Amino acid sequence: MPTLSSRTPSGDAQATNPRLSPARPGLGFRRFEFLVWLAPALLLVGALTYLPILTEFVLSLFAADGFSMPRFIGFANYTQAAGQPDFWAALLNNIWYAISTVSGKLVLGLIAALLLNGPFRGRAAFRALFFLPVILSFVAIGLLWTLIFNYNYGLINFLLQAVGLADLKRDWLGAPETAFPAVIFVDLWKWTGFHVVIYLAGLQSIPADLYEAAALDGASRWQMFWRITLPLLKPFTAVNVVIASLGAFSVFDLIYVMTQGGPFKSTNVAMVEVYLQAFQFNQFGYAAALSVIVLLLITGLSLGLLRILPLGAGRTRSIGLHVVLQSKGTELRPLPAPRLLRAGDSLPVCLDDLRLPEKRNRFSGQPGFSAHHLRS
Amino acid sequence: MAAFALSRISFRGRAWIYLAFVTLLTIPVQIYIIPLYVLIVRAHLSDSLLGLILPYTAGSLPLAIFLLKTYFDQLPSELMDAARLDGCSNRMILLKIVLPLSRPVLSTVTIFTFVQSWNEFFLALVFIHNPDLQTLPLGLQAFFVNQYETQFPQLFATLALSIAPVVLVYLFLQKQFIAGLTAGAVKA
Repeated sequence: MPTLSSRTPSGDAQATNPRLSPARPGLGFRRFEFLVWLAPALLLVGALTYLPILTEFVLSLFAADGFSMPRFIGFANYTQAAGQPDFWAALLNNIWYAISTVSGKLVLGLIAALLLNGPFRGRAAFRALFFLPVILSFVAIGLLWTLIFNYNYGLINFLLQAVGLADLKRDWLGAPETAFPAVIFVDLWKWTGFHVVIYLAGLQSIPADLYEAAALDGASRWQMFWRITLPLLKPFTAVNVVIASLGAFSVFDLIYVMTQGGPFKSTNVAMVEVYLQAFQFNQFGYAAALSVIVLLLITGLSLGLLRILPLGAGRTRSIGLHVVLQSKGTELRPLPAPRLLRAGDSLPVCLDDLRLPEKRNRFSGQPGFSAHHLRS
Repeated sequence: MAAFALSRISFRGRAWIYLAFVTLLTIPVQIYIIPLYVLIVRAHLSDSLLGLILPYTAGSLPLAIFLLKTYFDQLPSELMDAARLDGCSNRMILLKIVLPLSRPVLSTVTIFTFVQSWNEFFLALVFIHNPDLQTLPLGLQAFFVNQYETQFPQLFATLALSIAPVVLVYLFLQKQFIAGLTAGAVKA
């Protein structure tokens, strides 16, 4: 048990910088205490996530079937993949899938969020309904929609028949032209609610006085939408794009349940191909090589998106968190302040960041004074 | 635990370890399924529920750590400083101060992890072959493939049953979140 006197000085030292955690690395146990805290999580994630990712690169260089001894074959798996039209067709499907689901989710999500943001009776119920498909499993949803699309018993064909459009009846999931759009439609149906919630959080983060000011200046609703709403929603759009496009490249459940990649591979995607190669044909090494290609693609995509979109990684994520809390009826905490003024900052930086009125600069009469002066 | 350490104990490389967890949010499990499968088979954990539980836990850790750490960061550090002055160890601070204040975020993490594991299909499909151990999505799919077109009432009953718990938890915890927040609101 440490005595009070040994504690007090360090407590005082902390007072100047409260963000600094009081448990500073010292000697002995204190110094390695963090390892004890981290060990369980590190072990699990290390053994079951990082280890497999690393072995995957190794495995992709071997001919392995899961039974006999793996045989080193260099990059043969990759050259095999390069000459394999099935895989590239599947990857191309992923890209189409990504383009259509991302744009669809953004547009539908934004429209629904705008509608759900206005005051009307039963708004909470509508919001809950919109979010409901998000928490259901792709398996349940996939099966449900497979039934709806069914040729003989499906709801869609039944309705078409009922309104006299029997000519339009078709085997929705059985024909290559309609199967892919049908799968994309179900994905949209499931996930749009999630993106609605993110956009709702975004809409609520826009201060109402901006609209009041715009109204005073005689702006139309249309102008307000394009000049205020859309630009201020940019960070939220960015989150939506990142989440939706990563999802599009790893989609498996939905496709596997609804079409198994068929008919005639028209809905085949990369992950289904990997699954088939590994667990139907026992081509573990080859499938690992395919996975590595997809992994590199996903990594490149997320790095690229984070670079283009108006956010750094940390901020994107933290908005994600606020959205999560918001969606559960929790109050929205303010986002982290952009950057606080620190003693020692030189004024030009401060002026940039805070847009201080020019007056202030004139009064001080000092060209390059530090943030220190501002505070006093 | 890890989130608490990452948020409240400072040590060298903290940012890196946090980054290592958070990066995993962008990598879906499908990507590294093959080596994971080999690993699970080697450990004789295939066709056992433990073989699912461990990867599920590992898979949901990054999100949990991210959510918890962000939340812990926002708790007023004065509370913890005060406790430390009174002689609290890190363990006691976590148990007596941080956790009671964290009910809302704990519910969030709970609902996310629960829904994820309940709905998970891919790992179960790959790891589980024994029909007695099948998880619901797997059983649902097998049932469907074997006998749809004939037994619609049964199929819809199964579907309804399989989604009922998730829907219930969702509706139930939605209220919990609000209650948890008003109770745990700190004025420091």
